[in-house]
Amino acid sequence: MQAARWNQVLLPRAVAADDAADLVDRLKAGDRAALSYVYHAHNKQIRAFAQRLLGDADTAEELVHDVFVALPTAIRSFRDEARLQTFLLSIAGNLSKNHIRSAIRKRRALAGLTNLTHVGSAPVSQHEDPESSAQGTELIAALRRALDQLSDEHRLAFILCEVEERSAAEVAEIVGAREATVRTRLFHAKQKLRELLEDGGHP
Amino acid sequence: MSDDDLLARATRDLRKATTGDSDRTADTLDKILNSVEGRKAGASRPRLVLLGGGARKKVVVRAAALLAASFALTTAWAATTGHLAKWLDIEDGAARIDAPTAPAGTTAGPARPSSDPSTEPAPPADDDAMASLARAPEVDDAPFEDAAIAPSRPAAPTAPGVSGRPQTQSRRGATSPADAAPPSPAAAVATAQPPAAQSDESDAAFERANRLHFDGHYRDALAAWDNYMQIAPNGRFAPEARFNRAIALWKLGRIPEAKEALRPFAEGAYGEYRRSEAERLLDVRDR
Repeated sequence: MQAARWNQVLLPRAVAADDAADLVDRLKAGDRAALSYVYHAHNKQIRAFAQRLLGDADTAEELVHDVFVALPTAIRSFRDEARLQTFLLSIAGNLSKNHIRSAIRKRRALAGLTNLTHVGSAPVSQHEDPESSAQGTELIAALRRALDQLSDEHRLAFILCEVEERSAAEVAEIVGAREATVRTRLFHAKQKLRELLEDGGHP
Repeated sequence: MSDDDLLARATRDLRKATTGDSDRTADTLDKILNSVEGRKAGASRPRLVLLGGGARKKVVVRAAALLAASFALTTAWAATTGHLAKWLDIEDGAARIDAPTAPAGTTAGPARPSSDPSTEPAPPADDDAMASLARAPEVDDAPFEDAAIAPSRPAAPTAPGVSGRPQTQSRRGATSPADAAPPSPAAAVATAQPPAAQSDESDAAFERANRLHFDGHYRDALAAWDNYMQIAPNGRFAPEARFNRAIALWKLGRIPEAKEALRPFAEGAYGEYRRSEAERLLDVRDR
């Protein structure tokens, strides 16, 4: 049963199926192979979450780093019935507070420097149509400004539920709250975001 | 468009724009593994074995009681034998500065004449020296958000050599005028000339780059800043041009190049010009 659950996590080739539980022990010990495997299996999802939550590539990369560095210690509280990706997102959510502050600070610093009313957070792709790219970038920028006005809990709920499209049950497990609490936070987050988007994302 | 549609569209755009792809995947893994190795090495170092909470408290209480008893006994002996007065007399001046009131537990010594010039207390510490120590250093507490760049042509920076910090050198070979080592502060001041002396070409180049930059056309602005730096690498607007070029790089997502361009400002190569802004933008932990 335990091996079957670990199969859902894509067992590493370096670890035999019947030694699936050994992966946890190897992670606890900071085993490089185990950590590298888990990183390769999940870094893209964790980075996408970090990028969506923070809106700054550098800060997002820092968060990804911090999540996997914390994993060998945090894995001690890992429950077999939980998916590893959910667990990693939980670590990311717990570690994100300072990174959110840093990303907001940098965004405001850049906005103040260029004396512009909007900050384009996503780099312009050379392959996109310039006009739609500019509109999409502007809308994303407005959403980011609006997200910066939310509390960390509301921000997290919105990103996980709406942007990541995860179920309320899964989000509740990630943030360590009741499902009803998650739904309430999401409701208030969306309400405030709608108001802020009317004003271009400004308070 | 309804609010729901707008929020839904923004959400969808954000989802599509953030895929988790990065060209730093391998570098980040290296850093992770190094960090974890570092933690393991730190955990394996021998540590002092400290007492547990309860035992530690007992030791502290016993030691404090012993010290207090020793002090009381010593003071009582000194008072009865006359040594206490002698000690106080010898340290008279220092005692008045450091301990204006008699410490608790001490017995009063013989009264000392207050107006005897031979027993005048040591002069107080130099007032100017104390005042200078107490004077807080000037700190720019202005909210960062208030420091906006004027969209019009900025004033030439004043002599940036006041920081006294060594000028930084470009770590790479100069591949473009903008990548060359920043001009020395003295050179920047020396080249400041009245507007009449500036060529029309460099002024026009700066105006064009400035307009493109603040209209948000960063790709064209970057080329225009490079063009200005080629025409007037040591012009009076060169520092501003270098800084705006760094911002344009940042806006285009070319972060490593932007940081490289901002580092001289953060390190004081231009004195305090744009230094705090550059420091804030470089507010990323280096691992």
